[in-house]
Amino acid sequence: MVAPASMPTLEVEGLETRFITRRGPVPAIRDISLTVNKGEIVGLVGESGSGKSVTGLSIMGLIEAPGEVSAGKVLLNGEDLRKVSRRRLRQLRGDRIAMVFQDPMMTLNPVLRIRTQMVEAIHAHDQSVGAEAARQRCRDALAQVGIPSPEERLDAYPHQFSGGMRQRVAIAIALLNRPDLIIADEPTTALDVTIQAQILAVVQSLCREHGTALIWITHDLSVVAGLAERIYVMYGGCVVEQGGVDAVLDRPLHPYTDGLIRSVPWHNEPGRPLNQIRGMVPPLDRMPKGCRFWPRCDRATEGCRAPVALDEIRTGQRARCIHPLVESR
Amino acid sequence: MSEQPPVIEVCHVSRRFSRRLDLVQRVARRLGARVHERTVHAVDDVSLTIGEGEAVGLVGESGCGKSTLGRLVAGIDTPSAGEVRFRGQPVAQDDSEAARRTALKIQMIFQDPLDSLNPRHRMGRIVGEGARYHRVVPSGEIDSHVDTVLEQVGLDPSMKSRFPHQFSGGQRQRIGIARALAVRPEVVVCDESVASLDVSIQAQIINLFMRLRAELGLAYLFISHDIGVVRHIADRVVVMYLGRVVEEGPTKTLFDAPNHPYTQALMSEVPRLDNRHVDFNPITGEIPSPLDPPSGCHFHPRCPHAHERCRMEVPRLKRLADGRFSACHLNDA
Amino acid sequence: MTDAALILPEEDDLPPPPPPRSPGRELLIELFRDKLALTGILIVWVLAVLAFLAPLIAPQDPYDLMQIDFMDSRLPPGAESMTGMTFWLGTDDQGRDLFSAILYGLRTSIEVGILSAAIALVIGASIGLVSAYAGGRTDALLMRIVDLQLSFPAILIALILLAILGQGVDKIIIALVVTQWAYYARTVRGSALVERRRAYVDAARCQALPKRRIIFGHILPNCLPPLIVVATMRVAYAIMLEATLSFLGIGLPVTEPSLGLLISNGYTYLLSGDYWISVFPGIALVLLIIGINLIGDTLRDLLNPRLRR
Repeated sequence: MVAPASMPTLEVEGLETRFITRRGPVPAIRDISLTVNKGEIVGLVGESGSGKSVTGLSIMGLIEAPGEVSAGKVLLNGEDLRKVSRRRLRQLRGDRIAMVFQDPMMTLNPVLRIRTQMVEAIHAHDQSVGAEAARQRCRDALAQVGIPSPEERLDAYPHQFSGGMRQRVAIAIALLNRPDLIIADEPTTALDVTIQAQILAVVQSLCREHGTALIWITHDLSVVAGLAERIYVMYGGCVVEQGGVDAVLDRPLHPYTDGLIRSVPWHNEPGRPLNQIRGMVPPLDRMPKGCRFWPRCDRATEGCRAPVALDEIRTGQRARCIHPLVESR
Repeated sequence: MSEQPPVIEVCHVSRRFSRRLDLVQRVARRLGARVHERTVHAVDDVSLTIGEGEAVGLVGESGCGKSTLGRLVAGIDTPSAGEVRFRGQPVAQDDSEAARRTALKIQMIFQDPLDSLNPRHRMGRIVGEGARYHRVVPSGEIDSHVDTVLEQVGLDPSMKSRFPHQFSGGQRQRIGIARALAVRPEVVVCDESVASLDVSIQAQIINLFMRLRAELGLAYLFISHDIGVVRHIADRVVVMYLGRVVEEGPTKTLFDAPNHPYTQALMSEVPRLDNRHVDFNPITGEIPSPLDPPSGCHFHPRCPHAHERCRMEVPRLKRLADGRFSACHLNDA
Repeated sequence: MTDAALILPEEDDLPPPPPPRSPGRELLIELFRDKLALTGILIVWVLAVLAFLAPLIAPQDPYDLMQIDFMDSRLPPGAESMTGMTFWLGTDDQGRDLFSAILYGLRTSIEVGILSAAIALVIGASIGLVSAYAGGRTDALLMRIVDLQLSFPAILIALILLAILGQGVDKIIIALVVTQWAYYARTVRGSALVERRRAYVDAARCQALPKRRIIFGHILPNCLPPLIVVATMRVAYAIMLEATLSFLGIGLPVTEPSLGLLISNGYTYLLSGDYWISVFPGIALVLLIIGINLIGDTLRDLLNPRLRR
């Protein structure tokens, strides 16, 4: 099925995932809509409890009981992943859409050699590839992610690599079948600065060369600032702001986004107290009604207790707030 | 400035970890096999000082030894060579009264708040046990002392009967801070104390550290891989790579004009909120394993300016200007 | 800014957090919620109550020779004695009421089992803790002793010990302790080694707390989960071991009530139709052990840190 060039690689509409607990269903994410175009890098930013990881897993169809995706559409090149058969989903996963996790050992099997796992990933989607051709593709993938002496490295086991190298191998596996979309969930959070920079370079060149779309899920606004073209900010299971990276970071609309930006140490003058957002993220089963953020917001009024829609307040920039920060900073 | 010795003096401290050969390996060596002990120089001849009320930041990546150095300063570990001194006196490791008094003066705040709190102890006990045992305040006043400390760090004293798992991450870190404060320390070693926290909670805890420093005149050794945090809180910064100090200087000058190529790489590669649409072009190469570090200057395989001398000779930490030191052969030119 | 008043969250906007419960109470609540464990608890509870009330409820004191009449021997269940007492479970080859004998026997089994397990636990856990904290040569030495101990079958060690010490309840307990302590030592050492690396131990050392307090006050409470599971299972094993030894004739002396002894006595009559002499004590023993195992199984799942939370 060939998609027209203008169709976005991924279109998510109204996605909702919930967890069934002893006390009833608890929504983890609600009303999530996002779009990623061909070759585009999109950042999904949020702190713990925001639902960003659940969003990534829901798109991939990896949510299992007691969780379930309860509403919404996930259109990959026009095909709704929520409606396809399990067989088709398995065909697509690893082939057209792939995921990279924070811990590379979630991808890598410690008892298999790298080549075994990589060749398996190729054959799972295309039986016709010969052994030598498969090996060549694996070698190329490793070289692309910057692993020196790929020929020897193919025969190694995961524990023989350092943390940064393992993550690169995980990315190489994700790329093997040239997927249209990669979802990366905190892939560099556990890595050192210089190694993270290398991985960012790898990922950036791959997206540019092959037109792979990328969703980069992280809590680190600074990484997304350099890497992404558009940002979605999540809080309490909803998208609270979205837009171009410059617009959102220089002229945030939502008080949470603003608070988050101001909390970053580099953004503040050394020695002065950092801006902090008071209070804490409430647990999933005790989310406030209406705007999720109002108990911690300095601009909250009575109207904030009612559900708020994600409105386009400026061209190309949306925020879920009835008191957005429209004055310039 | 008075002539008093600095609060903390780390004098040519090294910490080596070696795996002793077992019986089979020793026999093999006797028979001529080339088996030798593997030694990791986690900390290699490091010296630094912390002055009264000063906040010294310690940065570096995996394997640089900053955590090990923190433990040596806090007294949890013993150096293989060199000495750690508190106000001129060596920090002894024995069970004497003096050693215990000194130990209480240097406290540590750990990285993982959940792991550093005993899951079976209630919060009140965690915070107050040390102070109670060592009679930091007379026994009649201990309860109010603990309450005061809790309020200082922003915790509700009525939660003393709760267990660690019933608190949030930020609150757990505050418990750790309260525990340290309860024994009236003069120096606090913060080992990646905000690393596991979300940005908004991190801001709260950093502000708390700064407030306590102003109120209590504490000195800090702030260990972090997050350069932005260190820039905010430290007066001076020490940069480590594979067990050695490569650069040291006042925060502002070090950030504005880093001297050592490693520091330069670190500064340019750390993601900044203001850097948009970056074309990533980092230095290449893996961080070497501490078990097998490169010869001469440890950084030479990855350094864009490396030359022959860098491979042969270990650069000494040289004074560049007031308070600025760097260990690079390029400075000799 | 808007003209509406600023609002702050009120207490009733969010439901109150649940009150804190200690880990011990949480565990008990979870335990009672599990059906299998509940069954086990019920079985053990009933048997234990019966056993301890034995002197009050047993129709006959089976070890009082005055009360036993040889003429009553090998009567089937439900038969009546000369004196009009009903033998609910029949009598053994000496004329003892089996029901009473089983009650007294249960009592001894439980007492011996728990006492030996408790003493072995204290000794074994202490050795395991010290071994883990000391490390190095001490640890190696102690663990080699443990290995040595565990490489011999428990029955063999018990046999040898009892041959040397002779018979008697206290000697049995000593033998059981000697065969059991090593399991506790090894279990606790394993946990303690893990706990020793954790940051809270470093924090305690940073606060200059004495070693003994760290080992017993900080590390030990965290070694309890596997210890509880092992202890539960070992109690069952101790009971079974004692029964085995008594069956073989070297356990408790003939004058002390024991389920093993009863089973042994009735063994010769099994095939000739007087099944009850062996079978009923056997059932009682099996029920007891199953009950304890059910509790232990559930405890193991509940205390498994990976399955929790």
